[in-house]
Amino acid sequence: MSVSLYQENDTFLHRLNPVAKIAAFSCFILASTLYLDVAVPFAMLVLSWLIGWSLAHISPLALLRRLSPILAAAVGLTIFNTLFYGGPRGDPILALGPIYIWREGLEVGSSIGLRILCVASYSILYVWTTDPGRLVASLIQQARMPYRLAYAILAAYRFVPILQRELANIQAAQQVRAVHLRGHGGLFRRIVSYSIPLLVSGIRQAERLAIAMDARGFGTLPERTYYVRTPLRLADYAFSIASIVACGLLLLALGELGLLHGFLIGVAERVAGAQ
Amino acid sequence: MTAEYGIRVNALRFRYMDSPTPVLNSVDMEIRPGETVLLLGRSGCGKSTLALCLDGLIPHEIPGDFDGEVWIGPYMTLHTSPDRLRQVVGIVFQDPEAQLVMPRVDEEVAFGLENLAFPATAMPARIGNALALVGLSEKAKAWVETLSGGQKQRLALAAVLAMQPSVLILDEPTANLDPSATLAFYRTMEHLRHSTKATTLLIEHRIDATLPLVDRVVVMGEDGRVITAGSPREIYAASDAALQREGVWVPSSCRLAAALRSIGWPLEGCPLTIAEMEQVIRSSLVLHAGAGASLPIGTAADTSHQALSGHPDEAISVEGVSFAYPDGTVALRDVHLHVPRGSFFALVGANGSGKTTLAKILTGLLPARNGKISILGQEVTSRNRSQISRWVGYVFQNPEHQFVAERVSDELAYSLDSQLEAMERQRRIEKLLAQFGLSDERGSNPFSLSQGQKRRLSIATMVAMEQPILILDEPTFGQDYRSAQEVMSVIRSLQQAGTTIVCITHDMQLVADYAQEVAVIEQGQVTFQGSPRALFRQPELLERAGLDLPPLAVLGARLGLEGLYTVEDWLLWASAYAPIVDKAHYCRTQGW
Amino acid sequence: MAGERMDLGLTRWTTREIVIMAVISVALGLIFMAYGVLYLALVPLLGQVGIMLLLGFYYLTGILVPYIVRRPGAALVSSFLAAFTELLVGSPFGIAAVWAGLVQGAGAEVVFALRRWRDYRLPVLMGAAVLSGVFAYVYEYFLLSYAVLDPAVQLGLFLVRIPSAIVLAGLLGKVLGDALARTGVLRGLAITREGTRV
Repeated sequence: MSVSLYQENDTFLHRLNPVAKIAAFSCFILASTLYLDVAVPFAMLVLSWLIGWSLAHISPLALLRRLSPILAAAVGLTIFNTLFYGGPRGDPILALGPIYIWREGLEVGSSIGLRILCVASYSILYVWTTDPGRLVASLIQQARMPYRLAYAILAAYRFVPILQRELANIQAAQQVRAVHLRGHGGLFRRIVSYSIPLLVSGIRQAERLAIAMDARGFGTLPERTYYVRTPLRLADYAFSIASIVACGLLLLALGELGLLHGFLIGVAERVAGAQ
Repeated sequence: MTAEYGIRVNALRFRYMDSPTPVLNSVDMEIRPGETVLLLGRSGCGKSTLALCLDGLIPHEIPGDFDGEVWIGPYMTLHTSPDRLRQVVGIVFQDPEAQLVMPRVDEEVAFGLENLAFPATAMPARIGNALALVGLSEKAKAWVETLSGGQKQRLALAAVLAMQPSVLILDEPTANLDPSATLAFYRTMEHLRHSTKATTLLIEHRIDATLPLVDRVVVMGEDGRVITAGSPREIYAASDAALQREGVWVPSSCRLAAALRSIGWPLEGCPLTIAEMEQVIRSSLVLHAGAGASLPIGTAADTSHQALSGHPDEAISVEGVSFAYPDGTVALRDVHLHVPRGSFFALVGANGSGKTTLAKILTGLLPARNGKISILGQEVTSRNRSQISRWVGYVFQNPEHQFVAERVSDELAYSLDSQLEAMERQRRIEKLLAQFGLSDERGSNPFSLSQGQKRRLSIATMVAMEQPILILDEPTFGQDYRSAQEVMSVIRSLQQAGTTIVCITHDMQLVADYAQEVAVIEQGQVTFQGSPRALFRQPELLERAGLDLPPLAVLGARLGLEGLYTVEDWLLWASAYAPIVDKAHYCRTQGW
Repeated sequence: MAGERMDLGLTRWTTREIVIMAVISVALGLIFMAYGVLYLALVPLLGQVGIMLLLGFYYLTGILVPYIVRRPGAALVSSFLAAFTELLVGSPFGIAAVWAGLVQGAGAEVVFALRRWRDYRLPVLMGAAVLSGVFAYVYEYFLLSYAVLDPAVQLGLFLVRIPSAIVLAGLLGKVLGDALARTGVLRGLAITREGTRV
């Protein structure tokens, strides 16, 4: 079992500074949330595939496969936003008894559904291409995070597979005690009965890890040195700037094509005015 | 290497914050520079606390009442800055999962150096050296998570060695490892003794492998004091029975020597290792039976193992079962297994060989992919799989995973049939509490019990469900001699009452002492099933499976004797050997 | 206590507190992932508004960890770590979940700060849970453009999560924290030193 979803490789995207990369990706995600048009999140989604394909040798198909479980959530969100659309609108395109469906609602709903896919796509790309050790190093070295806090992330990282195994063991162990056969309390009860053993064993291990960290001098000096260095290189600046420029150009192009209408809420009113 | 420092402890007392009683009570101890000392004592007697005091984590990081003096060479820990102490003392802990911080091997070794602001440019050389010392050079860029338990422990050792400490403390470094990984760890240690001169304090339960490495032994009692100290020979010659009472493991050779002496065998000295024991037996034979005397042949009758033939029916039968995890890892391949009803059945194999997967299939926690499983003559199908828990109880390796209640008595009540009327229910709980020695703990929180108590409680919760078959995963894991004995005697009495026991273990002496039938699993395949005796005749099979012969069987093999695996076997053998042993005396001591 | 400590706001953290915070956050992050499966499965049954009844559970980290370690910053950092865990193990909301974690944690942190990080009685925990929900709502308002929804639905999305936060984060945080304290593993941490008194 792998520690997380990081896929070791040596590509442009893997070599990028993790903080620079998250800044650039956040920029794409943010852009996708600023507009209510379908075109924007769709463009950003396609862009994520292009980035993954050209800069990290990740085939769009692989990304799509990883996105498929999220599709249901995206579709659900689309339906919800379509049904309960309350913004400016023209005549309904469909009436199902008391429920009306508007063109604007369908558009906005699809846009929000695509937005979630867009967030997921960049998140997956990020986790697949980011070495956790370098991520923490760059959080300290570039994002100026206090190092003791940053190491909580590494501890968290170490604990993910350990606790995943523990959780599986606890589920099995309690199944043997026929916990699943008893009806009382249902969900709430089960959360408590899994959580306590999981947390207790996690906390015991945390305690031992903390002592081991102290024993190796963690936190004895206000400043420490770093074996893994993550300096910002030309490529990092170039990628960050290129990302912002790409976002801007893309939005401009979509605007020229007449595909942009709804910037946040305010512009939605323009739609109302236009009808 | 850095300067050689010894350790001196004067009148050390320590009480943890929130704890009513002190753990350490006026400990005095001295370790000379370059010496290797083994610290013994039962679990919970304060060994680990003493280790933390020597390391300086107490009193610097862990709060409590600290009194007395600890000197590491010229440094008194109380008045020395933590960063200085960290350079002088290094410590390796027991749990391979909970002492490594970084995602990759080389980063892990760098962690300590970084904390002490070691210049980054000088790190690669130190890291390279340290990894070479423990034989992990090829793994420098590997993910820590992909290492085996044994490799993780050697990595923890490398991470400490990179800081070039003068004093090295090892707190049960092999307690969580299987036999072959333990052996590899101590090979590394032996190699290190020649290449570094660090003063070493070693805490260990399993001492057969470690005694040859140590110069002196220090024994701590339950009251948090040092009871005795001296060379291994002095310690074990003087008081091995007393040590066993203290809950301290005694080398198998000493245990055997004491037993043989008790039936009148005139043994000289105190053999600490199997090799020494071999010499002692040979020379006593030469001495008493004349130079040309041949060794008596092992003819020990196979007493316990014939009882089985009376129960031809099977508790569990497995025919051609395979299993693969969803990620494609094949865990079991065409497994065949037959567990006789009423037997004590041992399932042995290295870590990761598939023992636990098989146990999970037998308890219905995992579905078998193909093949056929029958339990008590009934075939298990997908329809009745969830019912298996009525027939098979499963005691997990970590007892805490099975706890669901906040009081010991509620934990037992949970296991009882909810149809029982209140009086009967209470009576059963009381009986279980008494049977498992937990009567004084009925109101305690299960998580707050001692290791041995937790283990007994987890067995009790399973026994309460009254299944005819009980599977136990490593029941003596990480326990001291006394609690291991207590747990095993409970299990044996369950077997005598008719429960079929399936015990997963890699403790081969346990197999020799208790099991009637044993199966070896190696990389998902059962490579052997039969009696322990038949297994011990195939040491190459054991070695391939990452296991080892029990120490007393090794002794027999060295002497060219077959069939002598337990102390009882040896006593029988000795009693049959007239020239030396006074038979009448033997019969008296055995109560015949 | 001696030793160098992390300065995070007002007081100093021990390594033990940092790592325990991390492990609780990870454990809850994993439980959230499992909970998420159930959550999504129940959406068709309860609807997007009704499901808000189960949403409060996600605010639990920012209540339980501060209740145990009682340090400034605990709510914020632990919420972030739980969300970060979800990112690592492949949550669909990934980076957006990390942002959400920060926002929720900030909400709870505000309430604890108002009580000067000294008061961890049940009403305070519940208040912190409610403000987590309020902050999260504002965040979602932008991320998911709630503005375009029918005003009644908007109100529903806001109101239904409040009782959920009170029970599944505030009350459950206290119940779990106290149950953990009784097992003895929290010895030496603020929750056992101070009990639940002010």
